[in-house]
Amino acid sequence: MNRFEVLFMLAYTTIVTGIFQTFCSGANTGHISRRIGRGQLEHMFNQPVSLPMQLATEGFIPFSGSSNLISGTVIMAVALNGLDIVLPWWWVLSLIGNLIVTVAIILGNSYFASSLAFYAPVQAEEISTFVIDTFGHISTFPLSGMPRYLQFPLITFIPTGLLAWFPTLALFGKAPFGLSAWYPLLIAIILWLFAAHFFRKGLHYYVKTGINRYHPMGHRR
Amino acid sequence: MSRQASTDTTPWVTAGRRRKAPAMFTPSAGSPLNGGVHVQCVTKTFTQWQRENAGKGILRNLLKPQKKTVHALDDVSFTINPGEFVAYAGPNGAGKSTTMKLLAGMLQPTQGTVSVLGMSPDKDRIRLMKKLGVLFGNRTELWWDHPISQSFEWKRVVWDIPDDVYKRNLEMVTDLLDIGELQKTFARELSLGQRMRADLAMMLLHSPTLILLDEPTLGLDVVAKRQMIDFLKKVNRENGVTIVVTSHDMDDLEEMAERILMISNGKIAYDGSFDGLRALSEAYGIETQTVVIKKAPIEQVIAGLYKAWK
Ligand SMILES: Nc1ncnc2c1ncn2[C@@H]1O[C@H](COP(=O)(O)OP(=O)(O)OP(=O)(O)O)[C@@H](O)[C@H]1O
Ligand SMILES: [Mg+2]
Repeated sequence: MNRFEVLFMLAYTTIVTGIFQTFCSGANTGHISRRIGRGQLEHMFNQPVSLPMQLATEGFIPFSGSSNLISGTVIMAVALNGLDIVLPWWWVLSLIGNLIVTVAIILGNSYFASSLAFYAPVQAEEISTFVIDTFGHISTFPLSGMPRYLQFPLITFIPTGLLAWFPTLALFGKAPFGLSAWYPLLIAIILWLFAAHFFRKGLHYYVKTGINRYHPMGHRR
Repeated sequence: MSRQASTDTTPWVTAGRRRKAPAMFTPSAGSPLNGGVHVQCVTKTFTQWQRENAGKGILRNLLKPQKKTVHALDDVSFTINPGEFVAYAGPNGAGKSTTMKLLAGMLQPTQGTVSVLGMSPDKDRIRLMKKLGVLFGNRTELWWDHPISQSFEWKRVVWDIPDDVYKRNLEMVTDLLDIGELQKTFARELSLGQRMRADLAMMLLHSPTLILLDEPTLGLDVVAKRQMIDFLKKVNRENGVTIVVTSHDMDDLEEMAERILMISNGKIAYDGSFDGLRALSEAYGIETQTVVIKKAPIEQVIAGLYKAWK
């Protein structure tokens, strides 16, 4: 990777963070383990709207969340300018598609890990923060110089490489390991299926046992 | 399943006629399954981990954690007919909040069935919540960092309340609960009593046919409590709303409700009128003093003073 590609990758991460903050950080919808651990899901049960719909609509905070989105876009423009390549118009669409898939992977990770909070509300209250931040930090390393035995697990079992490195290469037509550019979408779907399964199981356990740990912190703030 | 319970979207305020609450225990025209509350052989057990903090206990915790099983509800059955005002009482830890959570779909029973307004709180959750109002005295449903009016607006959108219904209900609660002044204030800046009034108002905006209140008078002063009691009585007597309320203040309960359901150690200990409860205490040989009040009841005196100070 040359230095503008690395800059592009960092811009990509910043934009992803911006999207996450704008659409998923209101009312802790992205950090769902907090709401579970603090017993706040009980408020949601009393609304005549399905839980996925509530989660999808509560997270949007357009003003306080968009600073990363804006600065990331500016950095990306600088990187693209430096790369000095001609890109077709539909490339922008594939960029947006990749960004959405990346955010989906982060959310999938968060909800997957957060399912633990149904069973261990005290210990796992902040697990979503832990997962999102740790993955976020690791994802900013360009893996191109690394040995293959490190690259491979980081795009499969611990898919931090899919959050910035893989999409950057794929967007420039250089996806590693001869994988298709659609590969992150496949991982996102698998992750969501797992997350949905474990989340539903956890929810079921929750309404059977009751957490009795109600705390209003962060609720409807 | 019958949808009888969910046909009226008319605001209660239009029901100007005095709709008489059904007499106690007389089954309503329809089966109680269609409206009201039907709890059948419900058991709810909780597991509580036991911890010791000293000496060998710490080691024992690690090697062999001790569990305790609590029967919060033990084979409980009762029916509440549409239009009733039921007081739900019992000592601390008796299982009152647990029952409320079961009715509101926040918990599921270990055994037994719960039917609320003819629906299952689990399977018909979304449909049920359009008709149910829930308020826990120690929680708020308001948006903390927003003005009260914005929470009300949120409620209108989420519950999809028709404009005319919303408008009339809002007028009614604003008037009866005296919250006109509070609407532009942020929820976080309200006192406890003011917040409770705003919460109560918001709960009623969608014209629920059944409301569940868990210790709604917690921390309220005499005047605020009076206001709440009068309001609930009005909503019940004039609009036919079914109400289940828990409290530790028996005077309040007696004043509001016609029927008292008492629970103790997870079992129904008494179900009937307050006078029946007095008779029962005599049967137990419990001596009661009939207080002949020469002096004015102190609560009234204080209430009068509070009002004068306002
Ligand atoms: N989630 C839970 N996990 C474990 N035990 C619980 C849980 N919820 C309630 N309990 C236990 O169930 C019993 C009934 O509790 P509940 O909160 O229903 O009592 P209550 O009648 O509302 O009491 P209070 O008047 O103090 O509010 C108590 O012994 C309590 O310790
Ligand atoms: Mg309680």
